[in-house]
Parts: sequence; structure tokens; C-alpha cells
Amino acid sequence: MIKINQQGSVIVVTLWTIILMTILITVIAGQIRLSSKAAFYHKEELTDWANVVSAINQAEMELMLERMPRPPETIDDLNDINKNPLFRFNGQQLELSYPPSEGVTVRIYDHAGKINIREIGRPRMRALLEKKLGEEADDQIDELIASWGDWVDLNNNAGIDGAEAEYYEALDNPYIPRNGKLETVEEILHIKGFEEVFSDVELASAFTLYTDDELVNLNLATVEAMQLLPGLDDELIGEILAFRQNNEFRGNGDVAQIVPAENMAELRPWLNSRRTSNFYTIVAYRKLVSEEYPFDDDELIEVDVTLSAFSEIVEITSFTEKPKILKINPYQNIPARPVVRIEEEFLE
Amino acid sequence: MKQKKQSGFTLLEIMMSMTLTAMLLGMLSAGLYSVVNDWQNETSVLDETLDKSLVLLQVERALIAAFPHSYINQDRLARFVYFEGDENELRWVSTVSPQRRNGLTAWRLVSDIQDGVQLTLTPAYSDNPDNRFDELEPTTILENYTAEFSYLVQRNDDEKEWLDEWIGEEMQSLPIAVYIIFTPIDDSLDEEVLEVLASIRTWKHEDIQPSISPI
Repeated sequence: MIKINQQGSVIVVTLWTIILMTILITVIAGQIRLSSKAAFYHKEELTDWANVVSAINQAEMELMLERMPRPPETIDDLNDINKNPLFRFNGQQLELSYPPSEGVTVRIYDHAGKINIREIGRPRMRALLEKKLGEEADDQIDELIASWGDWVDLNNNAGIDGAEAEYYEALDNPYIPRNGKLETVEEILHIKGFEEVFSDVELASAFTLYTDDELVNLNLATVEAMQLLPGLDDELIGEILAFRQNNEFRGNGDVAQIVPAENMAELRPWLNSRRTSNFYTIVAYRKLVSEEYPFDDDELIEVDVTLSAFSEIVEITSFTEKPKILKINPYQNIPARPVVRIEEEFLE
Repeated sequence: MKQKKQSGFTLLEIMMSMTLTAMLLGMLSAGLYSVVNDWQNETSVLDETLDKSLVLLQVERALIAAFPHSYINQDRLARFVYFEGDENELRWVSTVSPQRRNGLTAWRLVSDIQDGVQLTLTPAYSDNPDNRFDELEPTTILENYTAEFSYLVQRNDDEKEWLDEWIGEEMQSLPIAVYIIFTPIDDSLDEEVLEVLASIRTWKHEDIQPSISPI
């Protein structure tokens, strides 16, 4: 009988020990989890960085390969492809000849698809601002154009309605105007009055500084650039994007089939559907979340949810020379880009 | 009847079991306490290294993303590329800003023997950001460290050289790489030497020709 009583005390001791140890182990485990998580994310971040940087290099190589003469036996195959291969650099998700690591998305934007804010003349600038602000904002537009003119001209004399050093030096955070060529597209926000007009525009996507003229190729155009172009609205942009999936605009005639005549009159002077450039923005990022949801009943939209991407602007001149890197931004904001997938019946 | 009386504990039994329990628990908690302590020491080291490596990463990326920003020097009435550095201080313009601000940000790293490595940030706008730095309060990013900077210049296609000074107004370009070595001020804290080596691929300004003597 004594034995039975002793078993009872053993159970008490054991239970107490188990409870105590459970509490202690939970505490330690919680701490371990926290630190290992921190270390894990840190490591993952570094791996992502390495993958993204190598994807950028692979994209540079892709652009150089594009300039290589094609082997003669593949020229026949080329005739079958009804799309100019250069038009795939329109910001769509790319498959490279040397594929990047899994999970890394690469997009290349030809700058022929952006509006050249350096070459653009006053009438065109006025047309852009009129679209953005409405034609009734005439006085404001005059002022904006005068300030912009003063910013890029070489002298320090303010024109009528314009602004030179005197104005910028009196600001709360004073600075001296450029009085020369713009160096980055974001710089236009520093010009008097422009910040409120363009604060909601993703400038790096809409504008470029580097192409030869101010024309835009709709085969390559970014959504942000098209939103600024006179004559286009969101509906037309959607149709242009849908058309681009499987076709290409070979000239203004093709565009006119989508864009109605009165809009076409405004849009026509901005277009050149054959033009490509030597300047590209390469964007690479690790896809964080991708969501798919139905849109308009007929289409499925896939959105890459990402905050920032590694981006660089390169000039590619030949396949024998290393590309010239004009700008690198490891944390470029890229707008969530819906990838419109159109179901087949919609196409018919 | 006798057997039923025996079913309780005797004082001796209770004392023995209590002592045993106390001993067991004592040993267990002492063991666990030391484990937890060790663990906490380990993780605080890990956290500190993580903090430091985050600082290094930010500096490295800000250097990779250096931009050949130019400004007009009002006295000389000419346009110069901004990148100024010597052994103890570095000032440059980068597309990176910790707040993810749009536009260019000017960075200044100063190595101070008392206060450690200090960082100042200001918007670059379109002029020389030097004047704006002095009005701002620097942030200490590495307390117990001094930094030494060196700059790689490309003289010819195959001739490169490390310099300990870089004057943007003379070179009219950026170095092709920057090397920073962070040395602990107080050796007793048992901290390691840290290094950053960042290559700058955007070292040439778009229009301004670099004026690097080929020596």
C-alpha cells in the first residue's frame, strides 16, 4: 500500500516539472523564432538582391544580343513572326534568352514609348498641360510654361510669368534653378508650379530625357505616357493594350482603327509607330504577391503587388560594346501593372 | 482496519518527497536559466550585427546608385560634377534616400574620432548641396567606428589606381568604385573591422567629359 502512495507523489513531481519546463521552453522557443526570423529575412533579402542584380545583367545581355546579326538560317523563321522583336521591350514580362532565377520578374521599357520632356517644344508642352489641367486653366498654363522655359534656358533672367533664382532662393527650402538641360525627369517637380500638377504622375514611367525626338511609339508606350498624351483616355488605352498583345501598329492607319477621328487629330502629331531607341529602362524585382481577379467579366487581370524594383537606364549602341549606364535606382517605384489577359471569345 | 490507517503519508515521506522535488526543480531551473542567459547574449550580438549590416547595406546601395549630378558654380560660372571625398569625409548624390523620396538625395558621411561615423542627408535639387549640409544635424550611424575612404580612378582602359582624395570639380566625373573601411575606435568592445566596396557604373556624366589625367 505504501507503494501506491509513493506513485501519487511521483506524479505530482512529474506534472510540476513538465509544466515548468513547458513554460520555459515556450519562452525560449519564442525568442529563437524571433531571431531566426530576423536572420532569415535578412538572408533572403540578400539572396533576392543578388538574383535581381544578376537578372539586370542578363537583361543587358539580352539587349546586346538583340543587336547581333541573326544567323542566316533563322531569317526565314523571322518572316513568320508578325511582330517586330524589338517591340517586346514595352514593359511586358519578359522571357530572356538566359533566364533569371526563379521568382524574378524582368521588364524592359524602350524609351521610344515615353514622352521626351527635354526635346518637347512649347506647343506640345501646352497640349500636355491642357489635357492635364483643362483648357480653361489658361493663365496657370502660361505661368507653368514660362517657369519651365526659365528653368532650362541658360540665362538667369526671368521671363514674363516665369521664375528664376530670385523666386527659388526665397523659398523655405531655397535652391538655385538648373539653367541648363534637365538631368532627371523627377527634376521637373522642382520647377515652380509643377509639383502640384505632376505629383500624381509616375514620372520615370511617363517621361524620358534621352530619345532623339518627342514622338511616341504606341507599340512601346507606357500606360503613364499614354495617360498624358492628348486624345487618349483610359478606355482607349485599354483597347490599345489589348491590340498590342497580338498585333502591332504599323502606322497611323492601324491606330485610327481604334482611336476615333476627333481624338486622332490631337494624337497624330505625337505618333511614330516604327521608331525604337537605344535607350532602355530595365526593371527587375522579385514578385512579392501576385493576385488574379476577374475584371469586366471578360478579362482576368493579374497584378504584381510590389513596392519597389531595381531599375537602371542604359544606352545600348552595339553588341560589341558594354552598355552605358545612365542612372541606377535600386528602389524605383513601379506602378502595379495589370497584365490584361483576354479570354479568347473577347478577341473574336 | 490496520491497513486503512497506513494509507496516509508519514511526515518523513512528505519531507523526503518535498526535498526531492525542490532539488529537482532547483537543478532544472538553474540549468534553464543559464541556457536562457546564453541565448540572450547570443541574440543581442546577432541583433547588433544585423543593425550594422543594415547600415552597411544602405551605404553600399546609396553608392551603387550614385548619380553624376551637376551644378553651376556661381563664382566660376561653369558646370561641375558633384562628388567630393577625402580620407575622412565623402559627399555624393544618389537616387537612394532612406525615406524613398522621389528625386535625388545628397549624402554626406563624416568620420569623427569622438562621435563615430555620421550621416547627413539633404535633397540635391539642381544645385550644389554643400550649403545645405551644414544647417542640418547629423545622425550617428556607427557609434564606435571611424571610416576611411578611398576612390578608384580609371585612367586608361587598363590602368586603374586607388586615390585617397576625389575632387569633383577637377575630375568632372565619379570614381568607378569607392572603398570604405570602418575601424573600431575602442578595441575593448571586441568589434570587427567592417568594409564596403561599391562599384559605380554611372561614373560618367551624360554630357560633361571627364578630365582624368592619364599619368
